[in-house]
Amino acid sequence: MRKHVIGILDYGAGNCTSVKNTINKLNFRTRLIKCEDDFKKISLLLIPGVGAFPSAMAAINKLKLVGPIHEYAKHGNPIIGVCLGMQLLADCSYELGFSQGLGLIPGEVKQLTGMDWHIGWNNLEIINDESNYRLLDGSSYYFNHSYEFKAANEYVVGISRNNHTVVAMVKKANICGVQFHPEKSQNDGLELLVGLINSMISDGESSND
Amino acid sequence: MIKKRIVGVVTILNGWAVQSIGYKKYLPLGKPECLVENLDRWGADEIMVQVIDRSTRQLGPDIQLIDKIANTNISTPIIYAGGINTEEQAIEVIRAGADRICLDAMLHHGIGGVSKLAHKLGAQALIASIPIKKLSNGELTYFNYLTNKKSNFNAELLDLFSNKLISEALIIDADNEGKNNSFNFDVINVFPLEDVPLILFGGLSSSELLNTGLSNSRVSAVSVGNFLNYKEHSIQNLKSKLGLQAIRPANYKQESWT
Repeated sequence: MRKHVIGILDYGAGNCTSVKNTINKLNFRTRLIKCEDDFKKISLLLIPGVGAFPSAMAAINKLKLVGPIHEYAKHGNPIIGVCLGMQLLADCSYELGFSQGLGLIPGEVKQLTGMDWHIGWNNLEIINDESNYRLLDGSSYYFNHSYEFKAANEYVVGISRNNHTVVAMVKKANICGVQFHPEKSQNDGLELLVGLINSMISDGESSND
Repeated sequence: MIKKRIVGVVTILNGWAVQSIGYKKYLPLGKPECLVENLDRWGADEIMVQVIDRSTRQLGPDIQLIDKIANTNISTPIIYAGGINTEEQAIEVIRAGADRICLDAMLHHGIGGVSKLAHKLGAQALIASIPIKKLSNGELTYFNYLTNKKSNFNAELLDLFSNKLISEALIIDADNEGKNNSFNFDVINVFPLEDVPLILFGGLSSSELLNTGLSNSRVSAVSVGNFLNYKEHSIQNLKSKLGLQAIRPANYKQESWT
């Protein structure tokens, strides 16, 4: 059976090595995406993230990758954003001033409510009825952020609680984001990641048939 | 609720994992990547890799080591400490596979670069190392390892915390590091900012001491070094003994994602 190729957006400051190693461990092939040509023949685009929103967007703009990402998404191809990568899917962010995002899922990135940081392991609570994700309810994942994606309610799939609720998972058609780091969340994270990648690729293939 | 964390610490000297006793005496333990793999398998909440000779020997961060660890296929968050003096070095450390970095030398000799670093990597990736030592007159003080002298919490350093440019402080009881069951909780009070989440390290070994640390509202994590290396499944055993709701339960799950 053909191994799917997962494209990992490499915009300079992200934790590409960690993500690449994990995806390879899950038995997928990987390709670092640094220019438009790299998008050819990938089965899914993964946007990783460690860093601050403005510098990440500046790097993506500098590499002229916003257009190719939009083009890739427009054709129903699957995209997963992880941590900062999920926040980059938003319309804009207020981290260190105002910045435009990729605008793939409606919403804004704002400072967490009622806490400065959300660092450590927390449970995911699935709040909509998409059966694919029900199995993830209650699993524990590693979070490390101080801003969150305030997505429009219809796109919020999962939350976590820490005095206030935190948006933990978003999805709009072929675009999905998780605020936590599945690649750093041991077995629960790896199970989620392999399931999510396979289901997103499979959904993308059926919609493109 | 977010859980309080148990951080497994691997101390490295001359490329080898060592058991450190007060950062004065060292006993070899083996290859760092093997110890990291054990902590990952046993379910540590984070793993801190501290390379203690990189700053003093001005070698910069050990990128080769991080690369080696990243290639072991572990899936636990890695905090790297040791030899980071510049923004470029810090970014290189994250690119090589670390998730967070712990700053020490840079807080004394390159503090101006820390805010730039926070803007680039995000403050959640930054931890400040705060070693506390007892002076001959009995006073507990913030200590600078590079000059081997008492240091001060100057306004520039405290502003980094107040302006949320550093997310957590690693409070090290340097005198008791490596000594069984000896963490002195008075060191917490030396750090002046009460709203900064603290990670405790140095002589924390028994479940009683860890319980005391984790029950402190200022503490977000406790770090354990040498004591995790004596027995298989030490993290799971420790977590089971603690039995606290505030921590993530011990994880014995087998790999099933292949």
